[in-house]
Amino acid sequence: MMELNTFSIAARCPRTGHLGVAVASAVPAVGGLCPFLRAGIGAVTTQSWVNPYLAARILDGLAGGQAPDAALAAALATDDRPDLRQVGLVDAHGAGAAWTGAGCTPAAGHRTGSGYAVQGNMLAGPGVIDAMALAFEDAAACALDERLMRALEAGDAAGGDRRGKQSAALRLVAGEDYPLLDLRVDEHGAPVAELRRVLEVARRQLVPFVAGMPRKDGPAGALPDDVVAMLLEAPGTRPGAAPAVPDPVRDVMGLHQEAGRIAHLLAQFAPVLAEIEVLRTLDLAHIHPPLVFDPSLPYRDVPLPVPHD
Amino acid sequence: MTDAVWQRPITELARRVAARTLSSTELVDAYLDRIARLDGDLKSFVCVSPAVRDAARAADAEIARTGPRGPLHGIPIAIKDNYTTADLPTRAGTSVDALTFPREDSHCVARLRAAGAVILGKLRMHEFAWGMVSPPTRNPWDLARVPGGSSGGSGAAVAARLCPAALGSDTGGSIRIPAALCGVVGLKPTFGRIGRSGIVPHSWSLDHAGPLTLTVADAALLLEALAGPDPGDPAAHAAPVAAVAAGLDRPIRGLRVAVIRDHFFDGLDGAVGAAVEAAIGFFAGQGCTVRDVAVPSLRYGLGAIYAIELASSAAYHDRSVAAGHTAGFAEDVRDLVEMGRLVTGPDYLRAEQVRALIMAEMAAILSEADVIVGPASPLTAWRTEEASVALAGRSESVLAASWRLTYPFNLTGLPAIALPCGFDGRGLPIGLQIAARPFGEAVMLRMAHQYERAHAWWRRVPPFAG
Repeated sequence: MMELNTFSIAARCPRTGHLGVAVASAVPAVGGLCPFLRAGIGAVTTQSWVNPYLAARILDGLAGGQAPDAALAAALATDDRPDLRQVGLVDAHGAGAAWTGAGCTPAAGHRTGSGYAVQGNMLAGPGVIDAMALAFEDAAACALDERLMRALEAGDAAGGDRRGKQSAALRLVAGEDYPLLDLRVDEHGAPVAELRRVLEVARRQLVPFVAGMPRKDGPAGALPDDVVAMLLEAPGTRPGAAPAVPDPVRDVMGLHQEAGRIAHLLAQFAPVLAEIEVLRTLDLAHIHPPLVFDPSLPYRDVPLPVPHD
Repeated sequence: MTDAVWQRPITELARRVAARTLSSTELVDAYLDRIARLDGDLKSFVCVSPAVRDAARAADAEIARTGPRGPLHGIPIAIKDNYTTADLPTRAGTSVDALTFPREDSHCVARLRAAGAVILGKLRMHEFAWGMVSPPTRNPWDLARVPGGSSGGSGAAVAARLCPAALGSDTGGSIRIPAALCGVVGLKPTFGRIGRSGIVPHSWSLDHAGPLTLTVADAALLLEALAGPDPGDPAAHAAPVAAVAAGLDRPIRGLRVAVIRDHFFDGLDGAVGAAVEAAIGFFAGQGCTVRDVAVPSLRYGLGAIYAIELASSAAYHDRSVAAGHTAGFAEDVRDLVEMGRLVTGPDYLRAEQVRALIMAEMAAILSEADVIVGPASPLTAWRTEEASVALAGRSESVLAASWRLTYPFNLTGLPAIALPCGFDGRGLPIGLQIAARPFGEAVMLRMAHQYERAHAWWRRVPPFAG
């Protein structure tokens, strides 16, 4: 059983009815195990010592007409260790519910509000939850993807997971059986910032494409010409494309070995780097290195003429 | 058996060759016989020159005609395999066939030949002089132990009396470490004192050429033969070498000894510490003044030499990395050569600036002292499979420990010599290190010679080679 120490938000947009979850954690690929969404039913995030079946049972309960609290309680009743679980959800009307088991790693807690549920465990502090809720409420004028992203960024800025950061995900459903948006950063040193970058690219290059995709209750149709034209471009030349950022080790330092080899060399170099970092702390600006350029070097075999006046 | 020629230093062999009581041919045959008997186990030679007996006969003929050219005439000398030679291949310890080296005599080999020496063969080394182990060479004092490196073949061959002298090279201690671990004399002269053209480069501003010998007087003879201008080495000093060998017996009373008590006495094996203190006591007893000093900047020395050595080696091997040749290097050497790219330009120049700090502190000490005396290695030869040792209660990798006391004199370019100063409880040799001002080889060798004359550790022959 994997412990997904995580901070997340499940929410519904009051204008569009879209449902979404944003989540970040210090395990890889959190987006694959935490968020579960069903269009027109609800959005659930299941975490801590994660039991994904809770999410499925809650969504079944909501689909069967249960209120969020009742669906949550019924699902937890099927679990022999509810004390280890953390769950947050909203239903299709925006009513929220959440559960934080007593065995979740502190700081752990949740908060529900109009159209959202925010929850987290193994947090840097209780301020993470409040910061996320506040950011979500403050962005009420924005679209749901932006509100969820801001909530995640606020949690990250407030300290997030106290072990550090590794992955993040943002998932939205509208009325279709495929997601409106499903973005994941599975392994990254700054996953929330990276998720924001991916979101900006997706808004320019993916959202227009998804908007033109076939719908279950309408004609399949074709994509608008400008969207087709854009997608025929190479990713690097499309609008919103990230400028090509050179890889510091490979492109700047010129270490062209394959990734595993570079990781090995970096590990071997670590003790050397520790010594070099000590040198970097010294104030040496006044010292001429003992390297003395000698322009006469190539002329040693041919004596230079003696100047005379 | 003390009459056996292979036990005698070059100073004595040269007298016997000059007196025609010993021929170069006899001498070469004695060493060839020993190599044939012992080197299968010791593994110190990469190759023995097929031309060595012809060269000995030619030397004998010339000596018979016109007398010896000098003390090295007819003397067989073996060469570390990173010095190029016209008549023998050079491999520099690598097994990558695509990498080849010129078939021409390096500056030092040419000077030895000009002095009449005969080239006996090429000696094993740690690949591209990067390392302190020199596989598969073994230590003649205990075949289960390493000879040190990178000039491990040179140290083992001289200690086992398979040659009376060998050439080595020293970038962070590669002459002095095997000298200390094998119980022979290893001389790293002042940077620039001996020209290096034709030696496969490791790190241009740290590389030194020098000899490994049985005695200090022999090291002085080799220094006189090797020192001088080298048009192919921009760092080589043109000034003629002072006659160092002639002054070795001059008294040392009144000379000033500095003992750097920080860095050089941290984490020493107990037997090493005791032997070095005894040697310092000897100099005091000879009427030298002894003063304890400190070089605080040495705490930055490891970072500095790493940055310089890694960056330089990476620059030298850059094309080999690009061509994929480094994949054929030994794992340790491949890692070091490839990771050198991670040293940035500013880090490299800061390392050079730190070097200036250490040089200045050493210069201040040597403005009030003639020599610096201390240990050459904090430990004696370690077992081949040992990766780390406990020194003064702290675990340290053998590689980190082995060069800790030698690299300061590569960073500063000061002349330094390692010579035996006793044996530990397992019968393994302990190395003393003496350093001096730039081009102060004469006083350094004098101190070393008089210590050696009073103790004569060099006369002990490893039981394996007896």
